[in-house]
Amino acid sequence: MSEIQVKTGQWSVSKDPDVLVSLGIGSCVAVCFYDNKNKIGGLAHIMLPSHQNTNVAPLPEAEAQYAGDGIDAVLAKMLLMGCEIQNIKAKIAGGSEMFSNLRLSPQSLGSQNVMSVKTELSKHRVALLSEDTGGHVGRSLWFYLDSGEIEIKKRM
Amino acid sequence: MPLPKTDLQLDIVLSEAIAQSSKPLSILLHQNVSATAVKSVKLAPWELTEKLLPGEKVYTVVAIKTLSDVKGFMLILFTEDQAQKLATYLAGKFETKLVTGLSDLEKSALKEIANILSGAILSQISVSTNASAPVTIPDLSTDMVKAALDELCAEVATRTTRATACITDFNITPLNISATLIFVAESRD
Repeated sequence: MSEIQVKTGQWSVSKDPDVLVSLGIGSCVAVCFYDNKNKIGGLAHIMLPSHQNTNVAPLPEAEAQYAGDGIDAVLAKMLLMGCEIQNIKAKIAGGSEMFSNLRLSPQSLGSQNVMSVKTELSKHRVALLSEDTGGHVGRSLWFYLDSGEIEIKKRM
Repeated sequence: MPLPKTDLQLDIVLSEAIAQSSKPLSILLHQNVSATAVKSVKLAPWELTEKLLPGEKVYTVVAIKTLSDVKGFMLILFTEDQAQKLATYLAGKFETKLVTGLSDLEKSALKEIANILSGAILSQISVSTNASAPVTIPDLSTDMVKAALDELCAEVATRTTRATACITDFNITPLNISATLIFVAESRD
C-alpha cells in the first residue's frame, strides 16, 4: 500500500490498496471517484470553479486547477484503466470559507467550487453519493481504495 | 521610484517597507520588536502553501487583502500558544490562564496588529513609489494553514500565474513571542 499525496491543482488515479491523500483543504474541493467493481479510484484537488471568468490559462503542472479540467482528466484516466462510467460514483469534500470578512464577491469561492463540481458531475452522469462541504473549517482527507471509504479530519 | 514595474522593483520596495514595519509595532507593544532579513521567493499561487509553510500545521492567521496598485494579501502567522500569549498581553490580562481559544477582544487585538503592520508597510510603499494600496479589514482564522490560505491563493491564481512572496519573522522581547509575516503580491513581470 502506498499513500499518494494529491496537492492543490493536481489529480491522481490509482487502485486497491493505495490511499489518496489531500491535506489542508480550505476553499478547494477534493472530488473522489470510485469504481467499486474494479477497486480503482481517482482524486482531483480542485482550486477554482472555471477558467471562463479569469485571464489565466490553465497550466500543465496544475491540470486540476479548474473543476472541469480536473474531473475530465480523472475520468479519462479511470476509463482508460478499464472502468465503466456507470460504475463510477463520487464523493466530495471542502469548499469552506475561512475568511468571510475578506470576501469581495456575493458568493464565496468555496461555494462556487462546490457548485461547479456538481455541475460537472451531472454533465458526466456520475452520481454524488455524499458530501462534506462548506462551513468555516479546513479538512484533511484520506481516500482508501480498498473500500472506497473516505476519512476526513477537521478541527471542531 | 515610480510604481514597481517588475518583480525585482517590487521585491526591493516590499523588503524595505517590511523592514520598517517593526517600529510602530514596537511602540504599540512597549516591547523590543526585531525583524529577520526579508526573504523573497517567486512561486505559482498554488505553490505558496505547499512550499512555504507546513500545510497541516495549525496556526492563528490574521489576513488582509491589498487592492489597487499592489494586489495581493498580507498574513501574520502565530502558533496557537504564541497567539494566545500576545492576545492576552494586548487585552491587558497578565495572569496565566487556561488556553481555551481566543475571545472576541483578543481576536480584535490581534487584528489590530495586522492593521498596524499593513498600515506601516503600505504607507512606506506609498512614500517611495506613489502606489496606492487600500486594504480590506483584517480577518482571523485558527486552522490548518493551507486550508486558511486556499481561498487567498486561489484568488491570486485567477489573475496571474506567478506571485512574489516576501517573508520575515518578528521576535518580540522580552515577551518572547515570535510571528511570521508574509506579503504576497501579484507578479509584475
